[in-house]
Amino acid sequence: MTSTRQEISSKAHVAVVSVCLFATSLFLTAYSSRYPEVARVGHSLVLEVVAPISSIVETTRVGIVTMWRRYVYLIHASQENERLSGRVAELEGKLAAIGESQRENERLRQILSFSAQTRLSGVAARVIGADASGWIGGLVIDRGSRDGIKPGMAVVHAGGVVGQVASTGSSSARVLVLYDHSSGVDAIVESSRARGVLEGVGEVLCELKFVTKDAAVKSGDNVVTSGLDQVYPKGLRLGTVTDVATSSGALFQTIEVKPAVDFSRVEEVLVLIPSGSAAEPAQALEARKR
Amino acid sequence: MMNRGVLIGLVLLCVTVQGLLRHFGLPPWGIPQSVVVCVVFLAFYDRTGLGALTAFIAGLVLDLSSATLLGPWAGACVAAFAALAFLSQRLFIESTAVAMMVTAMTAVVVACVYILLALKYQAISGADITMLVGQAISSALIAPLLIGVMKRLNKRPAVVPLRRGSVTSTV
Repeated sequence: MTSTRQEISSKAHVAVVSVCLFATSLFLTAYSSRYPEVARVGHSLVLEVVAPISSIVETTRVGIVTMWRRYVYLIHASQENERLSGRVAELEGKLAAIGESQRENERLRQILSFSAQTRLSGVAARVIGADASGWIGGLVIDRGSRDGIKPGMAVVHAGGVVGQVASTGSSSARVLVLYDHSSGVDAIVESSRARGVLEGVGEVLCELKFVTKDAAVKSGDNVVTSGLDQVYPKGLRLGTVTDVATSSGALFQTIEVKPAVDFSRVEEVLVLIPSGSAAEPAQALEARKR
Repeated sequence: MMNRGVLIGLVLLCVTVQGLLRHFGLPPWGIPQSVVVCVVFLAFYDRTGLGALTAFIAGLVLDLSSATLLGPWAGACVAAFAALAFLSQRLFIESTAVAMMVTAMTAVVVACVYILLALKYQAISGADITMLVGQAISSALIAPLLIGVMKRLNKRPAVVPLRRGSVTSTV
């Protein structure tokens, strides 16, 4: 009898606490949607814990991959060619290391030349993670407020625009990528100069919205930033038109755009620093590399 | 005594691993939701107000890792915790199959509540059936392992019975 009463009391306690916490979550959701900086501050704290672990794992992964390329595939070399294999392994190991350095150099050079060509200054950063839940298109980079990174700064790659900084920690930042639903960029079609807003639709695709029916847009056209949103400089490559549809009753065309950047292969990015902000420029990277 | 701090630490570690899995190319629908497994564990082994609070904080960790809205994952976790806490006495969680089934169902419920809470304020990427089912299955697959780890971390020390003239000790 007593235990049944205790059980009912315990269940009631859990129910009351759960209802209170659920109400708190509703309040928090509404509050953080109105004041997004609250979520960003909290995220910065989590990044402080998460970023070092991500960085260590990424470094380990690169080390293991390099080691795998250098040695492991030679384990099963035949006995007859052992001596030669040893020599080949040694040379290929050196080559793999040089190749990896060259590829890294090439990528960094691309970023630097991109920075020089476009006369944009920025901070080069390494991608060290992605959004954990899978519901939001985001990347984590290894530069943060300590390097002059601030929310809202544009993030680009030699291939084109990656997205913009959503929040920052002291040594890392989260980037909202182009294809996320929350992302929007003022864009123009390069050939016809038709203007619209490029919005993410998930599945690594974007849609160019608010382009009137009379604008001549066709598959294969390049879409670039217009510079009017004050986030991205004018003329940066966003993507290519893959599909154009017009329905009879609609005012605007439905234009599907494939982003220029392959987000699964992005390893280094350039965070653009607006003129006047104090941050380490990309050119400093070259000096540091030397 | 349930060590809730350790649980939250484990959730934080799992969230980091989830982020890394995505970075290494795992599709979003294949990412296991470790927070859901934590909620299932709490609902079965810590049916108290503090258990609900721990589920809330675990959800909040996932909210914080996304840096967009605070609350939707936390709310979804608490709702799932409450529902499971009331059902838990009728289920035998020690069975691997039951643990996996419960985790899969909870993952779907948590995702649905999350979408309901967040959709008003923010667009959700790829909110489709593949995502729901994929994450439910992958969460179910890691559930027995993760629940085992959580049980081990929260193992209560066995109390050695008192003997005349001896000092109380724990092993």
